[in-house]
Amino acid sequence: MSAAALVGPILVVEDEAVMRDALCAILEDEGYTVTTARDGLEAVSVARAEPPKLILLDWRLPGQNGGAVAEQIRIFQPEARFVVVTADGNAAARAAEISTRWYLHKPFEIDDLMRMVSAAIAS
Amino acid sequence: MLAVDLIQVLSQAVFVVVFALTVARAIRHPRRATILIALLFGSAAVNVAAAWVFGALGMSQPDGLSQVSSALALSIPYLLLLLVHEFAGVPWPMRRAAELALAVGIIGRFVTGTPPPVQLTLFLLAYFFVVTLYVAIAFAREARASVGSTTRQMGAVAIGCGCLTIAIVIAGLRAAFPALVPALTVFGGPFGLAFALAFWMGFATPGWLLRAWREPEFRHFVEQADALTAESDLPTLIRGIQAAAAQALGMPGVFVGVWNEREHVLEYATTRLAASDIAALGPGLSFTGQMLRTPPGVLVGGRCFVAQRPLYIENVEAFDPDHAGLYRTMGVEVAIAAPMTVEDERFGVLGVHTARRRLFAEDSLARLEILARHAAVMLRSRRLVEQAVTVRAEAVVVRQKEEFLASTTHDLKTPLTVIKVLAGNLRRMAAKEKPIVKEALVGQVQEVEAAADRMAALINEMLDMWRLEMTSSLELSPTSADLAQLVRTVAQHHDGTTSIHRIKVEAPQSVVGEWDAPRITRVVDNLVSNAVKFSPDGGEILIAVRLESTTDGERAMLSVEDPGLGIPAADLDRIFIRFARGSNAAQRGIAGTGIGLAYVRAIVNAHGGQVSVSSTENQGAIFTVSLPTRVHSTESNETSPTREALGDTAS
Repeated sequence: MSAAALVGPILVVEDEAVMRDALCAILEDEGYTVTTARDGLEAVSVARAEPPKLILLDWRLPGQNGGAVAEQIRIFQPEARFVVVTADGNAAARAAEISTRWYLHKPFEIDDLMRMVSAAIAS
Repeated sequence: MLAVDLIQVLSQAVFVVVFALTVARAIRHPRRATILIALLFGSAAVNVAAAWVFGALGMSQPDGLSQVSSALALSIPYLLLLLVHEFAGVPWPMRRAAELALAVGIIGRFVTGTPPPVQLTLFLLAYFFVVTLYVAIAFAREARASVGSTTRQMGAVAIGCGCLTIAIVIAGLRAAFPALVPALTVFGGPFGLAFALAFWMGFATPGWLLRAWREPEFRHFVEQADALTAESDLPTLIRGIQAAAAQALGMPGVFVGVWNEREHVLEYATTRLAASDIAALGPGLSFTGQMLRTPPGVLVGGRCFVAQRPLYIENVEAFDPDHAGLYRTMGVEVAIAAPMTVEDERFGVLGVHTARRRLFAEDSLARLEILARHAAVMLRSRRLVEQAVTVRAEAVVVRQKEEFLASTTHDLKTPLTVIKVLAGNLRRMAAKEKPIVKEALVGQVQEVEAAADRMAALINEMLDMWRLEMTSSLELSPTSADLAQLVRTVAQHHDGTTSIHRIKVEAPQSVVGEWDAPRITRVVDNLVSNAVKFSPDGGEILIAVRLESTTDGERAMLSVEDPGLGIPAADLDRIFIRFARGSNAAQRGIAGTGIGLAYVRAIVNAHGGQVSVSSTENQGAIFTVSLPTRVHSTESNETSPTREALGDTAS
């Protein structure tokens, strides 16, 4: 049984369609169940419908930013873990803003993404 | 009798004390005026001393001494006349007549012995009366023409002269009617005391009284100065200082030499000189743009600046003969200057010049020194304000650069990440020896190409902005392009990035023109991504394209309408300027480079088109682009948009 079966879906929140699709494909290929959202509003709605254990969260999104999205999801899914993904250059500070220790700087290696996802799920 | 004796002793004591004070001042500042004042009180003091000595001995003054005392007393009106001559000038017939009368009086006193005959006494009283009355009027007129403490000092002397005149009339009456008039000397009695006190207040003004007299003029200067402090324009500030100092000192000829540290010169604003005159007026002078410029150490102001202490120059031509021509042209005989310095920061010199000597020069000097120091404080405040403005402007530029860098790198990293993730995924699949469907592979490679194209477009946008910055020109490559199709492609890309926005395109099948397609694509992309970015609550974004026929030919009209934050009215005029961003965007923490709209305007203008915006804050915005279907360009297709096209109105 893969780890993915234990933790439920991974929610990929990413406004770039190509990135969203590619991440979804890669994670599914690793055996995870994946849900996706284009922006904050959709992310909250998807998370409510199917509570994720892990959220890959792009910080700059149309409408609200990653911080606001995390805050809303935590209301009904306090256990959710977040991996902040951003091209801003201050991913660590962004991660600290939502009290998570996992973050990735864009552009990132797929292997790094996988290690981070595994670590976040296993913790 | 006791009160009369007391008054007499008091008035005599005042003369002796003031004599001591004026002698001390004449030693400290040996000038004609200070020496004349000391002699004036000396004449009175010797008379008083002789009266005291022989009174104490119970003897009457011996004949010779009595005549010397009389001669000294007779010199008082003449000394006063010389003082008037110092500041106002006395016509020579008056001076000669007074000298003749004084000589006749002194000789008469020695020849006729004591008591003098009635005729001589009447003659001497007439001399005394006429001269002191003339002097009283001269001082009163000067008091009216002066300001501040000088008015009061001159006024006190005028009152003193008036009292002296009355004392003399009383003495004359006593000579004519000895039985009716009490035995009072000129230096005793109530008028003698008033005369002594008035002269003390006028000629040897005590410090506390001087400070009280100066207070209103300084307060007025400070009030004027306070109003000027906010003035950052240096010439206006200097004119203000000049006007305030002229009023506070009661002298219109105020000059301000401003120290130009960079060029190491003092600069005086003047409208009375011309560049052609300068060579003839003395060495070391130059004249540029209504400014007389001198090295430090040249002219009275320059010498004062180098010495860093106040100067009172009674005869400027003798003091600085090299520049006698300049002083004559400017009508300067007497000059007072004080350094405008505060805590070792040197700002220049403040000075006044007149065509006449000053009776109370030390007083004028002290006042000028205080004003100069205050002027220096004002100039320092202005310098600090200026420095603060520069520092703030520099901080804004640094912040803009940081934001630009952060935003640009973010925008570049996004397609770069797409390339890296897609390529990495292909590598992983190959490593796992997973079968790759050909169509999927082609699709992924196309996505990699599209991401690379977006990166290239972004880099080209940066390069275009840099070219416009450096050369103010841009080489377009117009080809046949379909704006409607191009808009649909951009809209499709953005539609995939958001669930809260609905991106709607209203366009005919095709709108064809001769345009630089990659650049126009960036223009549309910038406008649409702004519409998405600045509508954080979502909504419909309407992109409309149509063709319009005008007298100048066909034009493609593109509009992008969003329901978002809008642009505050105050920012509308500057929104197309490079690095300018709507203040509400920054407040909402929406990131951006601040060059997107500047680029839009530059590219649209380079195509011979225009871009405009219509917006109300919190009610969205409509950007409208009007593009001629053919670029009106030169043979090389190179356009030269002005720097304004770049949005650079600051330079």
